[in-house]
Amino acid sequence: MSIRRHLIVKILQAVLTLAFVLAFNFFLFRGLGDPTQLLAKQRGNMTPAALADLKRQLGLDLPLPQQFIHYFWETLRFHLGYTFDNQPVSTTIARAVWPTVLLIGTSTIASILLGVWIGIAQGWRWGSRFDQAWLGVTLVLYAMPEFWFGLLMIMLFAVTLNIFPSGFMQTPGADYTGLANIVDILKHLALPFFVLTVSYLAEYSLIMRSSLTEVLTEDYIQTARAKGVRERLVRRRHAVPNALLPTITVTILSLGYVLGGAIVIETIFSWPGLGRLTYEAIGNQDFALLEGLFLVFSVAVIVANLVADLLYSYLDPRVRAA
Amino acid sequence: MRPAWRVTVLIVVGVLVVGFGTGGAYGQSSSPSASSAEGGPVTFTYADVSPPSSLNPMVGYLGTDYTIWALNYDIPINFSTKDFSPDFDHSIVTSVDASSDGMTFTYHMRAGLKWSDGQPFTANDVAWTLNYYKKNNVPNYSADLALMDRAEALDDTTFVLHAKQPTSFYSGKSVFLYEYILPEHIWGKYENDYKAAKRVPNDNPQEAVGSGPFIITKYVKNQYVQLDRNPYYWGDAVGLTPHVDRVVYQIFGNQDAEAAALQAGSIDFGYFTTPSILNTLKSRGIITHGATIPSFVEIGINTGSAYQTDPTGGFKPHGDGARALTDVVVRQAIRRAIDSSVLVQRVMQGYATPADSPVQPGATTGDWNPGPNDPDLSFNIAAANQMLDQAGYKMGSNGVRIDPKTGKPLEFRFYSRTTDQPSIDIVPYVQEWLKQIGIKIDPQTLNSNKLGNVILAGDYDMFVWGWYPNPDPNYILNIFTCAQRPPNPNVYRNSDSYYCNPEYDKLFHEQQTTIDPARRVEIVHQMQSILYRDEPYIMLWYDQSLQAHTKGWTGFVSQPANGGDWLATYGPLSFVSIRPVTATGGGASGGGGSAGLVIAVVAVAVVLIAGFVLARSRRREEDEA
Repeated sequence: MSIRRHLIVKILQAVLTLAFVLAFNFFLFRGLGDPTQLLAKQRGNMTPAALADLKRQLGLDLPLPQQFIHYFWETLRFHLGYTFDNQPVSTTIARAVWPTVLLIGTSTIASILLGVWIGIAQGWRWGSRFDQAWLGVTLVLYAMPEFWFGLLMIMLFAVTLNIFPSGFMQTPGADYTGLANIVDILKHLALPFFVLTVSYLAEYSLIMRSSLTEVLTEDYIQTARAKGVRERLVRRRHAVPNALLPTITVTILSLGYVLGGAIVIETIFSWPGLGRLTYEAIGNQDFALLEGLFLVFSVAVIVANLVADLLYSYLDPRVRAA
Repeated sequence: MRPAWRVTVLIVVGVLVVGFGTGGAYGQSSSPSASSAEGGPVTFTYADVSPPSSLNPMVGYLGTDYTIWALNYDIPINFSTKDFSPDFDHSIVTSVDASSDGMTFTYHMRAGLKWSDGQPFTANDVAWTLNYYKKNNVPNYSADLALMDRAEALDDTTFVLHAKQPTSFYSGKSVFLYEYILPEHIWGKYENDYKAAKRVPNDNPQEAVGSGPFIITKYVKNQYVQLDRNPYYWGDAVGLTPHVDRVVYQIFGNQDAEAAALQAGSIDFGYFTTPSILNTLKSRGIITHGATIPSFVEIGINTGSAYQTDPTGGFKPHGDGARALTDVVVRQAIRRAIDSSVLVQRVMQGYATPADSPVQPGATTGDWNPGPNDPDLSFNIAAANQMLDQAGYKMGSNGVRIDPKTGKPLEFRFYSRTTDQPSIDIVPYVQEWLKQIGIKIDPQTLNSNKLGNVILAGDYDMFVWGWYPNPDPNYILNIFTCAQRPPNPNVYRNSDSYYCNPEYDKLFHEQQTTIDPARRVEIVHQMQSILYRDEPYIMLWYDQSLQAHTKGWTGFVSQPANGGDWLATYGPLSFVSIRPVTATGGGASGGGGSAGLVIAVVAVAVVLIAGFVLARSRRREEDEA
């Protein structure tokens, strides 16, 4: 298969997946039921005419097929509609993107770098005391629920030691600007960043470790050693590049999930990102916002998959040939 | 040392240095309220886990939003903090003259009022706002203004409210107009574009121009709302000068983190919903309170689902509710078999009060309790069994009674809501009690939307839900009128019990139109008595609002005076009155500094040791090479 054909097929697949996701999202949230009665209860002071207005405003007065066509057409035109509080979905999502990229992006990258580094060190000396020690640690970290770990860290650092804020991205009402503002954000970032990095790094180190262990049994490693190549070079030039392939796939897919935020951690640490926005939108059954969020998440994952596919076929010609 | 171990040491050291290094500084400024001592604004920070639904007073609907609007805007007449009666001393309106026919009401306002941007605040603004709300059927205000025909300004300090029919609602004898007054010079541009008005975020001082003591200056979604002192606040002239410069409402993602922040002193006041968290805070020296609020929880009953096909009384039955529940004897027997006080202790851990009427004891029409003329519906299983026996509901062989009219067993679907833990927790109690009187319930759990849909379809027998009524009982009484039944399967109205009683409807109309406030109180009590007798709702309890504050603050004014909310009252007065205990008060910032120092010393020591080890191992490696 030519490279161009391969590319076109992959992109077409991505577009089809996206179309399916769009349709699925619509019906998924409609399955939660009509929120008008809930809103009426919460408002507690509405005349029947006001209730009817509200239903119309939410676009729920039309028959389902008509709602669907409207939704699909508007989404194609990048009109994501309005949230329950009458604000554009697109700006609401855009505002939450950067906090998520800041927290989840940095901690994902940090955990990838640290995880891969630890994984290489472990795999290179498989079975050593170092390997065994880190294996124990990473398995514990991998199995540990993030919310529990996060709450423990809050108890320790925010209450007992009182050296970190228990959440948020900035000190509310503090009016910091310039450098003081950056320092303030970093202080708030430290705890959730630490929790996420520690919780994520296990996955990368475990994959890197097993991948490297496997590569080390290959004949070309034996050959390199027989040629008298120094150990450090065997590792750097022959073992690690080959062992990195599965890690790269996992890494790029994880970057796709960055936009999905970490709902649990963002909620525990009251972080104003996409994860927290999703949590609140589910609580309010804000259909338009949820559809917008899921669209963004899906696009990110689909694009990441596409990139991983294409990159993999570039890095490993066997994939292209298959 | 091998390189891999070196990496390990570096990671640990890195985490310690980054973590403790930056954190050490935090401990010294952990309390925003402490900033007052450093020359910054005196800030009061309260917190909850509920983000505002919107800061726009034509869109938002949560209690959270009302608390913020109460700081930013005025309603014509404030509720007194003592008992919700009209408080003319602390309102923009100072008196009301009602015409003898109960059709025209003349309101006199204070002179010289100003908006937060310095523009004059006159009767024109009030008239414009009320007419705008009325014209556009704004949900929050539509019921209050239902009897208003129009409002007009006579001069800068006088406006007149014309009613559609005689009423005492607008007479100023009790607070009925719960309408936030907006500046026409800001909102007037939306005169013919309500849709655009609803899209105003109202999250900055240019849009949120108001007349209250604090004005919204910043809102970061899902983080915090910041309000600053209004330099033109009229209250300064009548002794309502706030003691703080800034109020911050901080929105947590979860209650555990909020409780942690309260203990650390980084917030001053917190709302909670979990009794165990409040109990923990109490044991750690935080001042806690279970405040009486109007919110109540009931078991709603399908008393005969039917669509109100025409307003004059025609109706068409629908749904599949049990016939037996349309019989008032069965509903009364259920009432007698459920012990609210046990549920309050076991399910709500004491943070609630058993309830008899959907109209709260603190309502503007006063407390009502069952009297000698009302049936005895107190908890008594034997009496409940006797009632059912006498009404012909014979016990079947399996311990479930049989409806003599349909021959069906008394088996009822009982719906709880997934998001409402108490509604689920009460099920085993209710199940056991009702079993003792030969009624079997089939418990099911639904999300709120679905339950709303099921109720509209009439496909239910019993459910657990609640309301949060206004201090004036008109609205909550309205939901039991025949006209609140839905007209067809697509349109919601407010009735969820399908209760319909012409005698009750007549009284409802009468309480709206009587112009004698004392007579209105009588009628309202009579209506409460009817609801108690007919039991469309088995009232369970009035909720409490769980709240706590640090020892650094004082001056809270609860509303009502007897056990009410300390902060989020129906007006700004508590926020105006609160103040830090002393200049040095306001949180637990004391220990942070020394802890930070100790940690900084430890971190430096770890860095030095790590550096030494690394240097040694590198030298050794070089030697080996």
